[in-house]
Amino acid sequence: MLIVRFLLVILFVPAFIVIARSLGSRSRALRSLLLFSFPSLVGFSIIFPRIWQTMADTLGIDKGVDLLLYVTVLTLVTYIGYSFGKFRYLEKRIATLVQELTLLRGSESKDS
Amino acid sequence: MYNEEQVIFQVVTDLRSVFPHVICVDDGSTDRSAAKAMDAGAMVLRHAVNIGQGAALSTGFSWVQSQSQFSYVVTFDADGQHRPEDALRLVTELVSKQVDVVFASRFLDQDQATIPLAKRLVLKTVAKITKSLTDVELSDAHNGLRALTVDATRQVNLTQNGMAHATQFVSLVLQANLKYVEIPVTILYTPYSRSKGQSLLNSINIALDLIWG
Repeated sequence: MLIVRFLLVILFVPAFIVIARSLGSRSRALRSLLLFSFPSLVGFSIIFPRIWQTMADTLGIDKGVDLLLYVTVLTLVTYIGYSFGKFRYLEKRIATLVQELTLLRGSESKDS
Repeated sequence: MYNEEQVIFQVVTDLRSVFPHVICVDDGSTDRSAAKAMDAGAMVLRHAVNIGQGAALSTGFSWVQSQSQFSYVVTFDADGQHRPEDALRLVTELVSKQVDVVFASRFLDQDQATIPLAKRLVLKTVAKITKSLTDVELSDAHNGLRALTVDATRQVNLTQNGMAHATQFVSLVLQANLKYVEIPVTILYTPYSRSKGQSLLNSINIALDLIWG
């Protein structure tokens, strides 16, 4: 079943990186879905405790707990990546604004 | 400059004995750096908040481009680690060799024992990162002392706001096919300039900034 895990990594990790890094409206919608689906999945897990094992069996992963761990880690990493990217994006925009403001104000000297 | 009130008056005064025009980009200092630089005869451009050395250089370049009377620019750290006579030699080299950029290096001539070991390690590591990313063989890519023509500043559009700007600077010089040379200079290591220098951990930030873009 190693090959299945390998394929999951190959398919899902780049997809999550794209979702995390992109600032477009589609990626934003996907991130929102991911965020809102997470509590739903938690609720599902409580009501139907076997659901993770069923999904794990379908995907060829040994334990449902492992699948839950992978999904949790991917979700967290996606949000950390997104927050980091968004922070840098905002930082660059602030820098541009500060530079424009500085140039508009012009230089100061002792005589001015 | 960022919070350099202890030394900026002397740094500007020394520079003004060699260069008639000294422009300080105050990167959101919270002390009296800007006032002291002006007292020493510098013109000051003020960033409203601290946004990084790369951004400060970029602001300085943009301002110089908007002025018609300047032909050459020297970038010079505000902490007093550079010597004005070295800055003048850079400009002389720029004119005599007819190149676009002159880089300064502390590793060509200076007695290596005068350079703190940690600093040597950081700078050699950064020089290797720069070489691997840009394929330019410079011995001291993160030396803040450089001379370039105003035309060259138009082709060096820095987007790295932090310390990674130095590596990006080299990369942009290469991309624009600008002619450059590297000449030896001496860096003055004082307790003050050492305390203001880059730490070993900062080379990790530089690498991450370059990877992330």
